[in-house]
Amino acid sequence: MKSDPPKSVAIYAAKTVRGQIIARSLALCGIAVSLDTRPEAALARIEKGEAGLLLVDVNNHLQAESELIGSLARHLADSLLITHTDPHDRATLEALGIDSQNCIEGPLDPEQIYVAVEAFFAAGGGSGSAARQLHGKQWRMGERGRRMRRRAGKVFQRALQASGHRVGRWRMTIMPWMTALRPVRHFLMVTGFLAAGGAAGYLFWCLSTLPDIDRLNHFSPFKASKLYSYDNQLLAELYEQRRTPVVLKDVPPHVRKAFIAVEDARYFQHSGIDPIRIAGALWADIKAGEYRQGGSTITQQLSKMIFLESEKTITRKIKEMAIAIQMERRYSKDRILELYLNQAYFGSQTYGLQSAAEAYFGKSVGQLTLAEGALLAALPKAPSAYSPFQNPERSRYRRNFVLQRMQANGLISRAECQAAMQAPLPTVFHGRVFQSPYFVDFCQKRLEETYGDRLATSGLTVYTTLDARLQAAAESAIQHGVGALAERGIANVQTALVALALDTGQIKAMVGGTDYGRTQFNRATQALRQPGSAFKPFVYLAALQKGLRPDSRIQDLPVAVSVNNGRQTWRPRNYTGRFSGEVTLKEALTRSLNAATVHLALQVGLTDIIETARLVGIQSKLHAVYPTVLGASEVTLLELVAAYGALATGRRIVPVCMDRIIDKGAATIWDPGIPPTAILPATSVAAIREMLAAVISDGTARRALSLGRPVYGKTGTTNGNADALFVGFDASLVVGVWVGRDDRLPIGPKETGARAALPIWIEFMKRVPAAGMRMAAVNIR
Amino acid sequence: MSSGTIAAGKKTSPSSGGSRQPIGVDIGTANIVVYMNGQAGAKAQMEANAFFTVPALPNTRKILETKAVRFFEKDDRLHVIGNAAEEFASILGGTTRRPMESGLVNLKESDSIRVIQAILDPMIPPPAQKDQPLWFSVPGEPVGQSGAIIFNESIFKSYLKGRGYAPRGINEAMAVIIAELTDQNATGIGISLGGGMCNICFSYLSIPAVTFSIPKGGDSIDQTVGLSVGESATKIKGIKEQELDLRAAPRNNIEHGLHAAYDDLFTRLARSLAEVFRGADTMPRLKQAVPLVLSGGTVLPPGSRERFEAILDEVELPVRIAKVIQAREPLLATAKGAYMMAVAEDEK
Repeated sequence: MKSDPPKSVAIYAAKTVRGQIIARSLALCGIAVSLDTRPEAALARIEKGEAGLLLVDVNNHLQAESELIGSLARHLADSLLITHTDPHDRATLEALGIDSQNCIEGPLDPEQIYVAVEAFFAAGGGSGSAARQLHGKQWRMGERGRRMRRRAGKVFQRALQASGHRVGRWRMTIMPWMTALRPVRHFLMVTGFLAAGGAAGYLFWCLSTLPDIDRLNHFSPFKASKLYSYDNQLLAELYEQRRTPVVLKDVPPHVRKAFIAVEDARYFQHSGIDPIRIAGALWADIKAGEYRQGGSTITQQLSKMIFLESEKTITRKIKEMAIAIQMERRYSKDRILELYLNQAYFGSQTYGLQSAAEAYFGKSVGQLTLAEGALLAALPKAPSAYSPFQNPERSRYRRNFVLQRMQANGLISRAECQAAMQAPLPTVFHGRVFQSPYFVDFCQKRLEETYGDRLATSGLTVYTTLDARLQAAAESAIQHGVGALAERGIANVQTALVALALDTGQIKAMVGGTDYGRTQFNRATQALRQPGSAFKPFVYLAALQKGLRPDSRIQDLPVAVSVNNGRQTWRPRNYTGRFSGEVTLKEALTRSLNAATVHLALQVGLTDIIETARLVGIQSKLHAVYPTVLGASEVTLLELVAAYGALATGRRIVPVCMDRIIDKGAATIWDPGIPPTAILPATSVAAIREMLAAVISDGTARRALSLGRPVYGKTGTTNGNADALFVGFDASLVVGVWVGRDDRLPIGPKETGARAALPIWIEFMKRVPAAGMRMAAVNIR
Repeated sequence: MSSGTIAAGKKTSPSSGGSRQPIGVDIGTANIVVYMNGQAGAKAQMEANAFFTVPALPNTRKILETKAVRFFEKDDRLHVIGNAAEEFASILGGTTRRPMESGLVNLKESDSIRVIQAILDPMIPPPAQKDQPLWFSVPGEPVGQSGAIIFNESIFKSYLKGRGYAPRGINEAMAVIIAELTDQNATGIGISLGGGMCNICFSYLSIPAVTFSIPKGGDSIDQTVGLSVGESATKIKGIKEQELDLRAAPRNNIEHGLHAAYDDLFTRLARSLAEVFRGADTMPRLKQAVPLVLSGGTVLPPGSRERFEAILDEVELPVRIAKVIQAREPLLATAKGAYMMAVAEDEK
């Protein structure tokens, strides 16, 4: 008796990818396939009886394969199926002796190919020509044939849909959780959770769409980033979810017990799901006539928090249980509890126990009392409803319920329970910390350049350069100065102050305006304003660089400079309206003589002056016109202060706002301390310092003598008193103060740099410790 | 002078050496990502694929060494590499240079290969055994440019082989499918929109049936908008990454430009999908709709997915799209897919 041919297909495809697609499709539906790259190998399988059908995909390679096709037509017409795309190939194939009914024409259609192959074998493949079998009576004619084709089509579609689990060994190896699902399936079978048939199919579908539990291995919840001052004061918390992770060993036992007592009393007995609790919840649902109680264990709640949406459906519930069982098999109870405590939501964007302890009680988890722990355990069920600030009575009731559950489960004594129930509720919510807001904004922008959106979720600890004591001094000096201006009838002015450490460029204090709540525009870093005479030191520095000395003489006489391409003449005047004739450089800067400065600029050259300003750190655009030498080109206060730092030290000062950043893995990931680089010769530095000292001793800033220690600096005032500045330094700090209005209107009559800005600078310098004292500010981290 | 020294530097994520572990690597224009097992499960390390050169002055070298910044020295220049390069560029007010351009090794930069290897060296631990599997991403052939990627692939293969691994390339977009669509029987469309190019793959039952790329990506958006509004591409990039929300109406010229550039990129992408898929004889005809997954740094701005989906609706594809989804970790998906392939090979 002749045996049936094996339900096996040998495939030869001129284009490997097409062959793979056909092979994978047929294999998916349970047909044995072999894919060969040489036609002889495929043919040999038919001859040896290993395959019952030879499928040749010629596609666009018919010319190259014509000899092979002709040979197959002669010897293998019974077991041959040809696929091709181009309709023009049909005639060629017929010329080669291939019955068109042996061919599948058109785009690569896996389903059509499978149906054809299935038809071949259903008709007893091999017992006649393949064409006869493919298109024989049984398949071609009548309702039965159509049904069979439809059925084969459905088989293919079902196989394709289910192939998420059947792609074969490859898939099994890359999806280890599928293996982990096996015990889940066993459990469900053993407990008879659902009946067979449709319900089982539904269950399988639920389980097959489970998320990858391995995600827990590298699960990293959103964590708030924190900015600290140089001396360890918390400046700001940046977060989408306020969360600070805590390890379980740091959670006091009575706090852990509170959560277990109220959320999952049999936590240490069950394996992820608690049948007793489920039964109780079911009974409650039945009584209520709707889905109300979930009966979820802590593990189930965690699986929902991390992997699933919060909708109340049976599908979600089944998935939640399956994931919970997997988690219990994979992780210890302590690890699951730790994840839960760090993931739970406590209201007001507060996630995790540590952040909740800080927000509700202003303390760390380790310091929580029994009553406080019980209150926090009461919250995750409904944070708003049980909030001690919104609903104190309900909150107290729920907290006491937790305590009673703890007592009922033997976790605390009756006396402990009673005592804790008498404890008061918290009354103050410890919200988001946001100190030194202009500086924090400045740092945040720089951090976002590197970390983008991750900044608010990555749990970075950023140690900034800000000195909290100097910042307090700056804010106080500004307040003092604004008060003094108000006493002179001047309102609605803005002020800014920046202080940099001369040795490192670190920003030690920054105030960007008088009221951050009203306007967040940072006038220390963002506002481009004319510096006025505060720019002049760069003109004199350029002259010194060219070999002039402080006692070199220049003319302070009327001067006319052609500007605007010769269309206009600019005639700068001195503040007093008088000219002094021949003066020294030192005298000219000390008295801030405009005409002398322009004469000097004509001598030195505009290009060299601008290059010198750039050298010391001015980055804003400096217009190549002579009014620039009197401070007409706009700059930011921060760059001006940094440039004065260069005058003080001879080194390029790059303002730095961060000292170091520590990621949540405790690795230091930024340490940008680059020492300033030397850019000026010592002789030039000594000379410019001498001249800036004279501004204090004999010039426009004599008020600063009241400090009683060596300081250096220069006033600046712009036309109409729209801007008043003083920038100066002592042995360790360079500090700039600006006063003005956002709409650039005059501050007030006679409100020059010396009158409006210098007193704030002096006030700040009075309030900061002397240099030696500042050095003693030890970074204790 | 070229000492060729690689200075030992501080690592953001120290990697253990000598362990047997499969590794997936994504060598992208903007970032290099290595995905492998850590002590607490799979983990990704990401370094900027960038460098920044400074003069090789003794002080500078000393500072870099003190700060444990990774660099190498060549021709009297110190090449600061990886994330540190971006930090330095930011501090010193310069811009970084890229060893790759449009998804391929940037041959205009003479040190490209050296830089990439220097970045990769500490990220990939030495293998415990010879020929451990390591899969790395390979871009698709740009439309109409056959053979363009061979040089790229062979460079990395040869380097990784030299490190003792058995390297295998995986199409970048196919890797995204492996990472994101395994529960969809790895059938669907993967698109990786990186800095230099868009990689596209249609996968059928884990077979990469059609793969190609178009040489446009996030960088071209930055450059086009920058030229239009007279700002630097770096600034545009910053705004794009930090502020852009494609769901909201543009607030200024730059955002108008970014919206238009995204529309242009997405339109080109959608049209190329239709054109290439229709013309591909390896494109299977399927009755069922398939998912499309978007990945890569360029789709990070909120609203990217919705915008692309709307544009895709206007194009007639030879396959129906069930849904357009965004990769769970757009920056890591390619490396994760490569890693999953390495795991599969290792377990075999």
